[in-house]
Amino acid sequence: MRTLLFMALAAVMALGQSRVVTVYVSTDFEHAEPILKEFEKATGIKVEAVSDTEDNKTVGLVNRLIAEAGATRADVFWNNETGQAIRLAKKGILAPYVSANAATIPAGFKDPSGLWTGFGARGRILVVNTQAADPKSAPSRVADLADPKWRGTCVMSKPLFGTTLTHAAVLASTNGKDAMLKWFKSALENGTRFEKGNAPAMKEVSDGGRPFGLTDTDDAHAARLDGKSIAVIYPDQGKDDPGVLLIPNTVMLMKGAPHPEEAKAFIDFVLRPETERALADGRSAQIPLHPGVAKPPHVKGYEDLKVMAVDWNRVADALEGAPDDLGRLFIGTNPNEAVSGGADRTPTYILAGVIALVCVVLIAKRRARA
Amino acid sequence: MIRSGRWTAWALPALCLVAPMTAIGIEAFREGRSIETLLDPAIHGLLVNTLALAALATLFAVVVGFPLGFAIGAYAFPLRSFVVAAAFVPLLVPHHIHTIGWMRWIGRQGWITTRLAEDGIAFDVRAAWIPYVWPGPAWILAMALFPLVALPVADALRRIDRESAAAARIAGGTRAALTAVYMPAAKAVLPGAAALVFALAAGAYAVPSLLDTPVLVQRLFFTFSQRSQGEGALLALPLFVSAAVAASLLGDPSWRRGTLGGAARAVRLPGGPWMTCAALVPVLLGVGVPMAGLIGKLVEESRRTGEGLAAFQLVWARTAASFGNGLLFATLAGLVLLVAAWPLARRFAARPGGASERGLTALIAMPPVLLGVGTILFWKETDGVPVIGGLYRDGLILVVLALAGRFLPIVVRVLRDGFLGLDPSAEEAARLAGASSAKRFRMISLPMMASTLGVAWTAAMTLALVELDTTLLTYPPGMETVQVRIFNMVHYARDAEVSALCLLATALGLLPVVIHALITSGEEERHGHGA
Repeated sequence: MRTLLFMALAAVMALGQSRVVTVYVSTDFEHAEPILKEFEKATGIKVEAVSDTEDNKTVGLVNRLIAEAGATRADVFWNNETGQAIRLAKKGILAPYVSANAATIPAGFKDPSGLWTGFGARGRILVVNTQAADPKSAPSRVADLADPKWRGTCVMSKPLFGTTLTHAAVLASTNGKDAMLKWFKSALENGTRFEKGNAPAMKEVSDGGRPFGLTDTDDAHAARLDGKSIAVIYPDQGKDDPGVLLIPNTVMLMKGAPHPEEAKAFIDFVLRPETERALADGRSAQIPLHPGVAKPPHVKGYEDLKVMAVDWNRVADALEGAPDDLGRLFIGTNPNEAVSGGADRTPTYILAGVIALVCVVLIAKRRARA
Repeated sequence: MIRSGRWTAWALPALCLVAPMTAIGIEAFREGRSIETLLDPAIHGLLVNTLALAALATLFAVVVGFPLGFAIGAYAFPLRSFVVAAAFVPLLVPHHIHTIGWMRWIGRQGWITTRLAEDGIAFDVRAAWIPYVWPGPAWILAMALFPLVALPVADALRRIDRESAAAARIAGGTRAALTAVYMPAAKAVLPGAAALVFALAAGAYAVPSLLDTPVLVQRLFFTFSQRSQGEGALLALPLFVSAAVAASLLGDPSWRRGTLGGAARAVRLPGGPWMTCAALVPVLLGVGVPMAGLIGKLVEESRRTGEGLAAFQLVWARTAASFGNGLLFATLAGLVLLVAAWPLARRFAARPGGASERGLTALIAMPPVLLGVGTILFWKETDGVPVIGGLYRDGLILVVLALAGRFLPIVVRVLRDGFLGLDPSAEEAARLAGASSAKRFRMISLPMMASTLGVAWTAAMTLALVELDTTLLTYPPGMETVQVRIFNMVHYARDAEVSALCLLATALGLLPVVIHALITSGEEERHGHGA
């Protein structure tokens, strides 16, 4: 029925004058591209895409969207996580749109006012190199990365961008910012290696650098497809554990979108169960949020897992302060060598010395010229 | 000489560089923000790391690039044309591809690292050897940037006055010619080239990011995306000041006309096959190592999957349009760059080493994300204005102007050096004879500058073709470039396809160089100076 409604809507819009929608896509373009093409085929609306990558998206697309605020060139932003969606919502550059196709998506994965809607989630999972360790005796909770029992055996992404930053914000929203920072410091002190992104963290495990890692389901599935010996553990599934964190893709309508009707048609399209099925079948192996969507055996169902309950509004608040402290912790020094302690004034003295030296040289040069 | 008015000379640069930087500058100090952020000791640590990294990269680039530039500028030897063309290639390969290629050798699981580990030697390319000193990232940056030293040195030697060189050889032999004529000319351009490398290394993001080096630009990118664009812009201030100071300290003594001999070209000294071998070493380091890494991965994956060269067909089918987009942007940006740089270069040649020239040089250290965002911030103000607003929303103007702004300082330097090599008396004579400025430009300046214009066009095209960061922010929807595509594909860990695409993109980047080489080799043959 939804499909029929959608097709009818698409047919009506096909009669309109403008038949273009500009979509900014930060989900992996390889996964998004077939869906964009399918949309074009189904509706006759041409998609003009701007793509970005996980490693760079916050530098690229979100910066672009924020810079363009007030005169946006984008109609829709298809983001591959939730944190930046909330950030954009708080900046007031999104417009509300509640799609009929989002009705059966669980309430915890969408904004009540329709500023953003989640679909096709990725899980934050533990991975094991089965050639190096037995999955049965591997860490089973995210907290284990700071447990001395697993000292020097784990790897994860720095919590500065993407799903790992969202994960850190979720931890801050549930346990408090200080507890979150304390945990990351403990993990650092415990010898956990922090890589630039989830894909490098996955590579570190699959290449045998570390036996265990924390990453996303899509990275683990890609490694398996490439023939790596990887086992997946959905963490925190015990009785007293919080459950696995699922981070959905999010889609949102931009305020002042040049083609609002086409944008809504696009949002309706990607929020169909069929899109979730395509994402589950693909290399990204994403977890459908619509109930009853068929999926391949390697994709766990939302209903099969103990899923962490997340208050995304609190996550949004946590995202305001957390990045600054995490930035200090993970960029102020080399986190794989030392945990940031008190303010080290040595660089200030070095800089002062350099500045003094430069001044002397410049004065000497000026005098020599005179 | 054509008397370009100050405002005319700055009109286009203002549009593509000054306006965006002003927009981002206003953003930096908006909402009562002050430079207090810069007093944070953690920022000082990152700045010290940045300066040390840039200084070490500059040192490595000079050590590798100067002998190469001297060899190809002063000597004739077998395969010289090949070496000259190959010396451009490191500039055509984006820094992240350089890094990926090198990591195949010296990364954690690299071939050399693994071999060393088998012998009990621990080697980590990412590690600081002593506090604040990161030789691994500095080396890879240097391997990407050393042509910026080699090519100006070679160009300076090419411009040595033929009679001076011959007189020195007759008087004291080859050694005397080398020490009295060739070496001073090469050393004259070295500080300027070093300042350029330093500025680019200080603002580089891809290499430190992939190797996890804690430098200021990493913090800047993070602040930019997670905190606020204004605060991020503020953090760029030390990079700009450092580059400006470097330009001031190193100076740019290539303006000393005594070292340059106008349009005449020196006879090259004879060099044997040993010279070919010596010149090939830096080329192998800058091109061979990363390319071998990419090809090795491609072969490895092809054998594993049994797909042969299918990766090439696959990526070509997917990305053919991206190649076209990149060429279109680069061509338009190249034209804008030449038009924008010409009057500025002329002014700088008339009064070299001025504050505005050094300020322009320092802008090279500006992280491209600032220029990209600044361009958007400025041009979105035109939204709703008839015609111009349409250009902002749908046109190419943003990406073309952003690319022009990004590389304007480099193209200005190339053209300025060309103007410095000209004999002003011919134009002065024409002026006194009553020739109009347009006629003097058409009949005198343009022919005399043809060779330099070719170099400038080649530089502009190749730099614009491989640019990623600014393009990412400004390209029109639906018109991604091949570099954007590569950066997307790196994330999927599909190494064979990435390697194939990088090799195709490098071949594309070589196109302007090959065209330029073909044109100039014909010209050299006509002058009787072919290698």
